[in-house]
Amino acid sequence: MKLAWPQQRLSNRQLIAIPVALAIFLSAAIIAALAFDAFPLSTDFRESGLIRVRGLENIPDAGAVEIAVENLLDYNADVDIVENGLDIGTNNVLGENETLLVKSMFLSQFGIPENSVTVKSRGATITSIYSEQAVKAMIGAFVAMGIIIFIAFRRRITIGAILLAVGLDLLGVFGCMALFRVELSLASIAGLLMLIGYTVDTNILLTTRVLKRVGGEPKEQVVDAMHTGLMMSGSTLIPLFALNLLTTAPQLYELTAVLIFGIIIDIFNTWFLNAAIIIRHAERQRRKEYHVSI
Amino acid sequence: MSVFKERRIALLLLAVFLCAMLVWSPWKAVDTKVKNALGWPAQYTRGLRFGVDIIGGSRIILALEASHVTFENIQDNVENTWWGAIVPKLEDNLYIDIKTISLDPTTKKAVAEIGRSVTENLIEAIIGDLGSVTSIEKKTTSETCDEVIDILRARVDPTGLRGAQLRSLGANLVLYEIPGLLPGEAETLLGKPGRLEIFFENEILLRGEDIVSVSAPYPSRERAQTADLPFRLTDDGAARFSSAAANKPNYPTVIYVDRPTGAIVVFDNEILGEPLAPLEYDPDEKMFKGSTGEGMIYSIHVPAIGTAKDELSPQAQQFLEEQAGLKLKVRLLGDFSQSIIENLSALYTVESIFRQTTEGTEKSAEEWIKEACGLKSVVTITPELAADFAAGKIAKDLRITITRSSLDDAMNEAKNLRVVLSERLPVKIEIESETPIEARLGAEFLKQALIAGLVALLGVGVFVYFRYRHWLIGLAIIGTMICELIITLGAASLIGWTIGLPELGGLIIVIGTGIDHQIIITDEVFRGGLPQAGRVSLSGRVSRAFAVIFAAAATTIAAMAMLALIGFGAMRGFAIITIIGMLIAVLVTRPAYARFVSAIVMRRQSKVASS
Repeated sequence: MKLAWPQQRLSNRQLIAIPVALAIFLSAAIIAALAFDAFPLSTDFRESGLIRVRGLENIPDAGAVEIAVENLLDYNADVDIVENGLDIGTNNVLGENETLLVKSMFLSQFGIPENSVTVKSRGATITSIYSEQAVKAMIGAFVAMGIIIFIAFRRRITIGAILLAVGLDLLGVFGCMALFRVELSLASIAGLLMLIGYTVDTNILLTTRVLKRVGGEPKEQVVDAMHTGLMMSGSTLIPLFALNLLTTAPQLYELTAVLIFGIIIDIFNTWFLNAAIIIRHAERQRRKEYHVSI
Repeated sequence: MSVFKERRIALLLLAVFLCAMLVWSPWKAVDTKVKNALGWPAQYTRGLRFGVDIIGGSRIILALEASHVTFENIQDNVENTWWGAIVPKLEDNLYIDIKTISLDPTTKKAVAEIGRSVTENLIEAIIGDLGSVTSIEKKTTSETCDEVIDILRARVDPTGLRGAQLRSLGANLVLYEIPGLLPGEAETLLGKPGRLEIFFENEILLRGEDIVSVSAPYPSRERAQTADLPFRLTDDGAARFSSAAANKPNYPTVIYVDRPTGAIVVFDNEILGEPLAPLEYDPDEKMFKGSTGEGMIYSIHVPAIGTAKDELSPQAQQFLEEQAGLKLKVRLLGDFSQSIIENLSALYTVESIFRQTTEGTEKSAEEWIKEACGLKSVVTITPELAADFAAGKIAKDLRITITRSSLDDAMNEAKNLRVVLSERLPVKIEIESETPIEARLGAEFLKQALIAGLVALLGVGVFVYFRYRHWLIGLAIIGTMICELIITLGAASLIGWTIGLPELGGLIIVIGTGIDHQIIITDEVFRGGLPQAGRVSLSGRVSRAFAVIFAAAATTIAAMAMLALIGFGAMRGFAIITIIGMLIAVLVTRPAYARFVSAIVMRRQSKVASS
């Protein structure tokens, strides 16, 4: 099939160049986002504002309040109706001026006295301790994966190649999140965790087919495995796109977006990067065997 | 088809059926919070517990504020000074538990955990020249953290009906999630300890504020099947207790938490026919009474009246009319008719106490009555103690002695009682962050998800059809996906795991890798691409596919096990569901699928051969 022409025609170096270029580009996106302090973080990760309106007889329309606050502050606002008032969550912590503005707006537009409005800041749900543990757990997961891969294949090069591919997948996802403004939240963290389990599948398929089967040229085996692999990625992407496009829950959007990025990037990291490393390794080994047999 | 007769497939179908029943759990009541959030599917998911991400609610992170204080130069006879002077002084002045972490008489050093933030000056002012403070560190031990979680759980959700979750996040943080409540309401629950009353001879003798601290229970050295629960009273409380209990051996002290002072218990007369011992109903005083093992009688101080289920008896009618205005609430024990409820609602606020527990079992009549009256425990004064009090001794440090049918029961009761008695938490808590979570994944979402699910199934089906040109394969893949979903949900229901967003993620990954693995199996079985493929037998090709699948699943499970071990909160739930699902998939459903695909190929081969 035509899908596999790069693997058949390009040299190993050319194959590796593609995912490396992609990784460099996406790292640049991350660095740029971090440098301008523009990496999209959800309120799970940073402080945000909370406007509490209490003691109301008649509660104003939530939609109208949302529009009024958003126009005034330029931030995204979420309005919740509570027993005798409103809770308005804002994207950023409100400064002193903004607090005054909000209070006077409520007085003039909705006739709500200033003393029924309080402005607070909300802490991050995921605190620094939490993220520290997340990083530790991720590293632990990588180590555990490395051990199992070593037991399964007994070759250092495969551990390196698989962990590199999975690691670059995660890096690439962060890059895409920065580019497409998908927020880092509890949901997207769940997505990132899922990718650890997901993307390793294609890599193991590739390694088993090339290193554990006898007969056939390594390139042929890669192309053959790739047909199965693309089939796998394709049939996973279909439900993910369906969920991403047809549902409106923000958590689900973030989760599926992360997975879609990851699986697409994984196609490059597995079938270009990891494949080239494995082909090179397998060809060298064959050459060695050849020399020995002579 | 013959494959259905195979044991492996039969086992799978049985597992799917059992898990579907677990998820449905038609014998359980429908949770109203889930019903409000999800609509009709709540009917069919009674066996599952949903987290705040799905049914809405609040997520609050609490920080425990405790200090580890290191003392040095403790005066001579270190142990006596420590236990006899320093610890009591600190407890009396700070009104908080002091936990000794280490005490070394040779170096005259000690480390103690004090459940609030303290300064060097404060501590030195309290202990004077008994010792000196060398360092104060903000830290909380994990035992303290567990203890706080137990106490908070007893405050927030004593019956488990609210579905609150409290979990340690590591360090000094505790995650508190509660469905269906806004952060403000959730916070109020945290701050409100149960109202403790201890009755002696039909009068309130002690209240929560009389108790300074309660220590951990331990098995009694003197008596078998008995646990001792040490606690300390304030000076004032100790004096009152000593004078009241002097010369009253074996007298019962009755401990209530949140006794419904403004309520009347209305019970179904039928429960009087059930075995009630040690309780009995006293129709003259309109109260339940109990008796201790030693034959002493005590009253339960909540008015109670019995009636038939469908009509109020004349006595009940009269009593309730007399009491209207004096009491405000009735608590119903039993399945009363609508007319009775309407009748009562005219005069009172009506509240039903359910007999069913959250696990679906029924409480005994005794437990049910005790719960309605807020009665927690009855303990008796030991003869030795009564004699000591009579001799004019005032004891601040007392023990509650609990004897039950086994030591385990006694220890459990003692632990529960400790939670009840610990009015004050061992440490101060601060709210680190609070987030209201809308029930976004509500009815509208459900419709979308169903459409998306259908589109996804159709898409995968068509995709698979174009590759293999065989509609049975597409159906088998979809069927396997559904089986894996049901079995994993069933397992989650079995271990009582709460399903939140991360757990949903885990489910998606199980099903997602399911498609991957089924394609690996199908490709391997159907292969004809490589020249040597034909030489490998069908079963050989299946085992080749499983070589890949086992390696991939083992890697994922290992990674998830690490997340479960090191990670907290969200990560742990995700990892556990993924591990369970993966194990079930690799051991049960995917082999069954492989068998099914092999059968298709064999049938096709035999057709080719016969033609």
